[in-house]
Amino acid sequence: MRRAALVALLLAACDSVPESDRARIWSAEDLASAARAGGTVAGIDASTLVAPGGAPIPWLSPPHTSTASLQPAGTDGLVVVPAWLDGQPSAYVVAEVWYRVPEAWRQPWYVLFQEPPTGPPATRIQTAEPVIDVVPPSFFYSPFWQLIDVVIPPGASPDAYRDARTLVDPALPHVEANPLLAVVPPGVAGLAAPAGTAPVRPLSGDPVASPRTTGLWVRGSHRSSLNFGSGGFSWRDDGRIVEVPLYRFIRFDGQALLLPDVLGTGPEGQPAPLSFGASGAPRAGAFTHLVLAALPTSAGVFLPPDAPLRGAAVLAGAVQLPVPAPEILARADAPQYVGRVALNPACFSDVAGFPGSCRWLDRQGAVEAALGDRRPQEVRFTSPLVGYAGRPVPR
Amino acid sequence: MTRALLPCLLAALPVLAQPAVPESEGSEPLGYTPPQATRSPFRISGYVDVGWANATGNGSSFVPGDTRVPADYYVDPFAPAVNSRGDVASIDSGGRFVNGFLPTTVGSGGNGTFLLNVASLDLQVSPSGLPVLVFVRAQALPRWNGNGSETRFVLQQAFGRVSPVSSQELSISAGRFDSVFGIEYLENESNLRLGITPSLIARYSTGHPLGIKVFYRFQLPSIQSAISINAAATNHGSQVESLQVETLSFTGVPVGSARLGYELSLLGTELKLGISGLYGPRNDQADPGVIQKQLGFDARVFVGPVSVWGEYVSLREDPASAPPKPTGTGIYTIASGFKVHGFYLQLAYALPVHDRVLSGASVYGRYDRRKGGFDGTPQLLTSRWTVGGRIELWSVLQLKAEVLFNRENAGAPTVDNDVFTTSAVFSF
Repeated sequence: MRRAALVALLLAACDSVPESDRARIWSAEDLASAARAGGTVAGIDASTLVAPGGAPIPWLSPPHTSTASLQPAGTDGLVVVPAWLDGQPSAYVVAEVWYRVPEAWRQPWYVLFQEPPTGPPATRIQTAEPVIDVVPPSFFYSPFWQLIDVVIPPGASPDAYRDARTLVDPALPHVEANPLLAVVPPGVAGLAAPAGTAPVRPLSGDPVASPRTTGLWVRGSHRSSLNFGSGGFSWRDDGRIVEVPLYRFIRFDGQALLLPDVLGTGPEGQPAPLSFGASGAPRAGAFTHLVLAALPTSAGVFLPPDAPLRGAAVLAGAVQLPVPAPEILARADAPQYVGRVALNPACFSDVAGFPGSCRWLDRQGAVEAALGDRRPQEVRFTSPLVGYAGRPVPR
Repeated sequence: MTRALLPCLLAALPVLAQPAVPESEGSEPLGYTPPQATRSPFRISGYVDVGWANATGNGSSFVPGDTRVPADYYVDPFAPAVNSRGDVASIDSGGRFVNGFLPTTVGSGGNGTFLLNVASLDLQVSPSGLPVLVFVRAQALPRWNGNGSETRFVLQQAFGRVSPVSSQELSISAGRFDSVFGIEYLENESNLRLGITPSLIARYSTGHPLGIKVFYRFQLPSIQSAISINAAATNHGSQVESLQVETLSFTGVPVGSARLGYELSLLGTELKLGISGLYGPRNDQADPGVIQKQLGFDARVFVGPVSVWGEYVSLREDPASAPPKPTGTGIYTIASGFKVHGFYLQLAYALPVHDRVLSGASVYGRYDRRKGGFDGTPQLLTSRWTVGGRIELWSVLQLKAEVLFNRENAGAPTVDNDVFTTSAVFSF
């Protein structure tokens, strides 16, 4: 008996971490592959992140709508997920999943400049694509870039500068420029949307911004990236990207409630005032740490009486679903509240006080103050914002 | 840079001359094996290594203005070595994030400085009539740590050894000892090393693992040969402690390593060949399924006053399955997948001097080449020429001087990181 216990102990000590539990950064390409195969990524159904061609688009299909919207055949799209950021309706996509990789770092993205024959100042070489030097599967690959303008010598061919090694030469002038969020490789062409329609924020129908594909060089090899512009993230002095929580509402049994998420504006427990970059894009929300937050059954969700989501089995008994007052539903801004959770759902009938009388769980500070049962996961997202306050996020 | 170092080397040439190749045990990779005591069961010995070193540039391999991170993934931080421990002049990355691919440092930057590289004390106990030996090597390392001076004390070796069969060359050791991988560990200590600095691949084979090892050698007198096997099961393998910690196993599973050696001894000529292997979990993470695999070949030829040493090492490490990455220099983010291979070839000539005062002199040169990199970051091809010489006075004082010409051949940015270094080793 004692010998058996010893053998069991040794075997346990020798157990390797299973493949599915290993640290990994899942690229957009990986997510698309997993979604097409009907698989999971870090325990998450990949088809909730990427809609494969011909498949129903999450949030635009039941249980959120009465009929399914299909992703056009032959194209995969990143699923637009509704959320709240600092009290405003917003939308994001999951472009990469970071499993058990705790940090992301700002990496250089070199842009070539050169003094024209007519003399200074140096201008960007329009025909030269940017250069980067770290790509998956490195744990230190990062989609969060610092643009660095590098001035190459007059008359030099930009073709000779397709490797970052040539661009870190201290003799070449370097100037830090804007930040940039771009994922490598792109994996998908864009955002999920039914054929013939532009992508929108589900629930409210607000327009969202679409990424564009950008070519670049990695050690002399040509690659491409999916470029989301300059917003969504900030960094510390040492270059570490500031991670914010992404609160996903769940029932006490752990089941996701299929409601919009809440994006943080600062590290968990340290909400910060939302800041904006030069383009006007919010500087938070694009590097998020998944935290499941259990809602009390007394909390209520703002849903119109005809919202298909009311019929979702997962919501039954988990939260309150009072019908808002007709006067409130008639408000022009009513779509901005669909799916929003309040701790005091009686306010949905408070025609005079709405929305100020509601204790909304639509910002980091409110969630952290009200919900004690928060369950951080070993999952982080590259989650570029595509919509904020009813508008596409500026690029 | 080369031009700047040449005068230093030329100035040092008058004091260059020979000692024989410093083989502590005469032949094989048993690590340091103190000779059996003849009178007292106790024996105390040791050495003091004092040097003066000057690295060019800022003393590190990091390039100012290079913002790629981790900074230590894009250069070879081990290149500007200044002493026999492989300490480099600087590992100052300029505030850039690093991830634990770092050597230890003396912190001198680009300034020339005197260094007390090590004060080493050996205590050996061999109880009379018993097949047991106990050996302890304690070392003091005075260093500037960036905030102040401190002297670190290390128990570089501490082991007990049993030789159970008196008629056989068989020994079993337990404790902390030299690695069994390859041959460069034979020169770990300043007083045993022909030159001053270790090779570019020494970081993978010259650690001091903790565990058990078995050495067996049998002679084949009919063909003037011997075959030996040196095998170990240890916490971390054979890498230096700045890369993987030897103190304990983070995985619960030991790392196996072994060297199979062949020796041919003819009159005036010796040939020694070896093949080494290592397999087991990497000890800078906790998952026993994350493996390091290492293979090596070594050869030594001694013909009269000429000796040639060569060694090849190839290493592959799986990426960790989870953070963090604990190493001998700190706790870092996560261990990346890594592969490297490299070699060195060293040629030495012992000058014909055997005076009571000038007891030895030699000149030597070594070429190193290493290609390695982490998952998703560039493969760095670097090389180094080392030239130097040494004299030995009264058989107790070694004076050495050497120059390191480090080169970034591909993948890594060019950086000024050559080194001129000297060492005076007083043995007792």
